[in-house]
Amino acid sequence: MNENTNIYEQIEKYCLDLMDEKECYYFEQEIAKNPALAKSVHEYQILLHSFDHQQSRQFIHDSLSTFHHQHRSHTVVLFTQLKLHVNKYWRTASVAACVALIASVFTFITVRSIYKHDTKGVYETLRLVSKEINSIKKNQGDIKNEVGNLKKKSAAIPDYPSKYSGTGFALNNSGYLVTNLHVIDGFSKIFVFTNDNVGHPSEVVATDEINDLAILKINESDFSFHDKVPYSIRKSNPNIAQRIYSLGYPKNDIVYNEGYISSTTGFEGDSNRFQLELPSGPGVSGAPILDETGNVVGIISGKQSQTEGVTFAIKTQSLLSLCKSLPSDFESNGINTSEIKGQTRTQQVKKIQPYICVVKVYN
Amino acid sequence: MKDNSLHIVSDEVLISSLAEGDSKAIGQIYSSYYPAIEKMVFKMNGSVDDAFDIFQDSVTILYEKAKANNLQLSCKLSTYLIAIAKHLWLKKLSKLKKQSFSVLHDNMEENIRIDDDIDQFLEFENNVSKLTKCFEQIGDPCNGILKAFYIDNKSMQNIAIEFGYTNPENAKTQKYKCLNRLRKMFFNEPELKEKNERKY
Repeated sequence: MNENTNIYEQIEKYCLDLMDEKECYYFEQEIAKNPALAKSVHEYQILLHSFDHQQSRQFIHDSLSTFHHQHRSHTVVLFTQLKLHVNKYWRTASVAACVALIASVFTFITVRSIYKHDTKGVYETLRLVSKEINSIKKNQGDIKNEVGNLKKKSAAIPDYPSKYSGTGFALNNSGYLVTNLHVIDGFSKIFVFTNDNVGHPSEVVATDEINDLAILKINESDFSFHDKVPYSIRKSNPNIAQRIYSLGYPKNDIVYNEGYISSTTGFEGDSNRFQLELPSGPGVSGAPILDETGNVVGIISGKQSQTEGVTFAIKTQSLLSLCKSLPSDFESNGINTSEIKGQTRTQQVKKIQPYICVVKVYN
Repeated sequence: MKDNSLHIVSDEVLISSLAEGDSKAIGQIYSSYYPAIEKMVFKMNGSVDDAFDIFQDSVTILYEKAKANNLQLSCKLSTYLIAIAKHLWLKKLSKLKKQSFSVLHDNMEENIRIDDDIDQFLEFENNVSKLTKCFEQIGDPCNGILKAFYIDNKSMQNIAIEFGYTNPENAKTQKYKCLNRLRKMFFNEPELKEKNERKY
């Protein structure tokens, strides 16, 4: 027995790496010679490893269990607390919930009825305001005038599309304009849109059926252009080959065109008109024909349908004689003599542009 | 939560602290990696208990490798642990359902050699359960003496006092006798071997 114990002690020493080199060497030789010993050593090693593993797994399992239980109990405690609170406060909580529900339903109904009632009004106010803002943006120079006009007139402009539109240009700065009679003929709702896109209700003050002319007056006592009209109306007859240009509204924005006088008579020899080589389109009726010094030499009235670029204009004599039939207050304001003679074309156009307006008629 | 407020340390530091049996390191491993593994086991039809068992085994593998200074990670620690846990769970699952699940290697796990680690672990687990059976059968005082010496690392001096031996030398002799009996039971009883194979 003692011998056995000795052997086991040696095996254990060997397995735990506690032998010194010499001892180890001899023991290994012993193992090599003795298969029974080798088997014992092997089994012993397995047992030791198992003990080790047992130890490790127990350590890890115990440690992890501690954390695991802490973690879980934390969660459980939270739940328990929640449950307790629920038990304690469910009466109060349900009363509060009911009150909140009633309050929100009441608020919903009230707000809804108020909203329904006011929808139309709100919409219209919004629309008008947006228009107002647009106008102010475009006409910063004369806000005062602008707001006054808007308040009075914009509401009167129909919100459906206009029937016809043409071009008109100012004769003086107190609101007299000239356009073609065919633009406004038969319509009572006439609005003149100045280049700041503000519509002004206007009335016809004089017409010339033969020459297709109409003089409009803006129906606003406080209306005026910023300054005196920069161009004058020439009395003399147009000359053939004279270079001319025009400003009109074939679309919503002003369009510049240039060309020349190709004939001193109009369609089929009409002596009250003259013929131009100038592109034109619907909407430019009533646009002024200006010469190189910036004076009005005619008013566009129509075009030849078959030939592109051929436009007819009304001579200024007809306009001047029509002006004579106007009330005396027109003359006193007068038409300014040309200020823009000798300026470049760009400068001329810039000056003239505000006095060219859109004339729109509505059913 | 308070136990999560540990400093985040690098994998290397964590592994070396684990090798020393630092409970803070174990706590951090639990809070950092357990949720992911639990989620994974849930997804693969496991319960909380399954997840925790698998996690315990995975960390045991990590701990033994760290302690033996035998851990060369070619990837992040989290990747390694998840791979181990997945393999362990699939093996357990295939045993439970008596059908085999092929363990698919994801791209993530391509470069991780864990099969050897797992095989060794399973063998150890087998041995331990066998050992437990043997301990049950070996009776007192061998059971107590062997556990005290080999598992609880008590000195022969203390064991002699605890078990009423006149001197440590006597206790030592008794211990070798017990160990020899244990060895015989462990290796020579095929019946026992059959019965107690750990279910993996």
